[in-house]
Amino acid sequence: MSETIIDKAALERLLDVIGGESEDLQELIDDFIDNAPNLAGKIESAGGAGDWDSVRIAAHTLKSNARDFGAIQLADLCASLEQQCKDQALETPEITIAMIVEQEQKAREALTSLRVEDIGPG
Amino acid sequence: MDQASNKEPSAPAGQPASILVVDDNSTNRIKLRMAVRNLGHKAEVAEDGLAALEALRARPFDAVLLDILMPGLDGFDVLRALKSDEDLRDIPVIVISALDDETESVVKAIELGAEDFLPKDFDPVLLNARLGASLTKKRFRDQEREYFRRVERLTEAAEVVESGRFSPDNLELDQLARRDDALGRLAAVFRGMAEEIYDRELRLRRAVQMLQGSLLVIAVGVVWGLTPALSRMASGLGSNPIGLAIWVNGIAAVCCLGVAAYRGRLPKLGWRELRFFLAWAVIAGVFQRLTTFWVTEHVEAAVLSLIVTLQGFMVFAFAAMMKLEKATPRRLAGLLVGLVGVAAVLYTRFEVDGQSEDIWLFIALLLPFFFAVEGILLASQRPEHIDLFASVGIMMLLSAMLLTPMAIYTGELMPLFTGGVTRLEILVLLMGIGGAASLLLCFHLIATAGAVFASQSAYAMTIAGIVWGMLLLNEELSIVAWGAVVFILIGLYLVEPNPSDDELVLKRSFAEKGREASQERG
Repeated sequence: MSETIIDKAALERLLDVIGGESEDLQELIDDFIDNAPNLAGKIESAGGAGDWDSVRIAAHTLKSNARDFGAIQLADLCASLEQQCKDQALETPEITIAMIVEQEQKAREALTSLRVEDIGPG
Repeated sequence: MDQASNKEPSAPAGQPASILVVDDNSTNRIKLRMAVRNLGHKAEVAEDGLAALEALRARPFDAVLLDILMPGLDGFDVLRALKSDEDLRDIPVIVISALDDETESVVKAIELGAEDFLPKDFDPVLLNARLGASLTKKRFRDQEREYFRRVERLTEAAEVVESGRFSPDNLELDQLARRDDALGRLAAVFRGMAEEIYDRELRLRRAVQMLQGSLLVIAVGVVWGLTPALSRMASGLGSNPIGLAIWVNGIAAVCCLGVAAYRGRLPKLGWRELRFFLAWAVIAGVFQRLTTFWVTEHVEAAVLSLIVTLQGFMVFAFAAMMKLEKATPRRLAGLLVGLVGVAAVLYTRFEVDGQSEDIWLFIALLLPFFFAVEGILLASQRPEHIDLFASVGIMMLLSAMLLTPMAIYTGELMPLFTGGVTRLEILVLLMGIGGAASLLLCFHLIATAGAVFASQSAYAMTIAGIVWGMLLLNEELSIVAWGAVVFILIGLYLVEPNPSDDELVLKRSFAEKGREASQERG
């Protein structure tokens, strides 16, 4: 299940960037698990209030975090929402936002159940 | 805020650099911090633009990794603030951006002065390469800046020399001259030349001071030495000592105050000044004079002259105790040499038979003591804002006023100018002018050369007294008197005037001279 949500190659790349220590990777993942719900929550509330600038910034941040941890679908959804905000071409933002909230939860669950020891170079 | 710390040169190549990571997103922040540390550098983090600027102003950093999209002060604002800050503008900034959709932002950041950019999903090799390039540039810029700062320092030192108000210390080139490179050697040569010029000027000034001081000592002695001869002449014309003193001091006061009034320099006296002048008048006008009268009746003139010259040693002792002047063996030796010269003259000229009463010899010591106290009083307490002529005039006036009741009491008040102008009146007039002149010279001498040097005028006075005696009273002059003059001159050389604290100012332009010279050759 988690394989389809989290791209392990991305996590391996991330591990390489931070120096190869599993403990460091765990610290990063814990930080994402702490912060991602806030970002998703912010997208939802700002979207409800029509504050599209805040939506764009939160989507931008969540996108780059999601990419780092290999949450590809979440990253793509965030990128799409960010682009829509930027182009002021919001078609169905409520649907995208709902999907982001759902994907964020899935990604978080997948990362929670992940064993960092399994991630390694090569 | 320690602005100066940012001027510190960056870490040398291969050494860990100090990097500031600025990102509002904690996950990104932690990732960047770990990545930077993984490359062997030190990393500090700031979670927004304001915190970043605070950290940059408080501590030196070698580079900044800066996120653009942040709440509050964003990356662009931070860049603008850095580039407008003299101390921070040379710290390289690498902006972090998600390349896919932020090309515009990257372009804008680079236009604002960012060194480079890094995609959010960078790999470590790329981070290392970009950070390395930025740090190398920073190091080069730091060296360049340091070089220009040193050139600037050297130019400033040249300006100080050109202004003429320099000493080897206020050029502040020591640090620069210690560096062993071309600029360091230039600074060392420049400093050495400036020091050489300064020393030469200082020696020249000392020589001039010495010459001026010696001439003044002789002048004071010559004018002062005239007094005994004139007194003897006046006494022959039927004057009495206290009455004469009142007239002499009064005439001197009128002369000096007249000059001061003409120059518009009559002072307003406060209590402090009045106390000084009163003390001076009591010592110079009353004590010195009364002691002279008593003592001359009991002590031989030659012995008294010798005793009076002891004032130099007393002044020396006072000045040493009060730390007014430097007390060196050389100066003491100078005073002794002068004393030897004067003693030789007095010994060969007069019969020193040792018949004086011993107790009066001790009382006679009061005379040089009062001279010494006067010298020290003038050297340490004189109100420097009051004009020289006014000072001497006020003192003379006060001492004439102090002596008057005494003269009335002893019936020695002497009416003059009642029956026209006789020889006595002319003599008194001359003595008044002479008294004023000698005090003016003495006051000036003490102010410029110090009390110890000035005290040597006692030697000159003794010798001059003998010479005047020969000229005015047809007394005989021994060849030894001329020998004594040589001794006194050697003494003056050894004692040296007290060096003045005035700043040495060179009134010449090196730059002008240099330009003139190059024009002549061109």
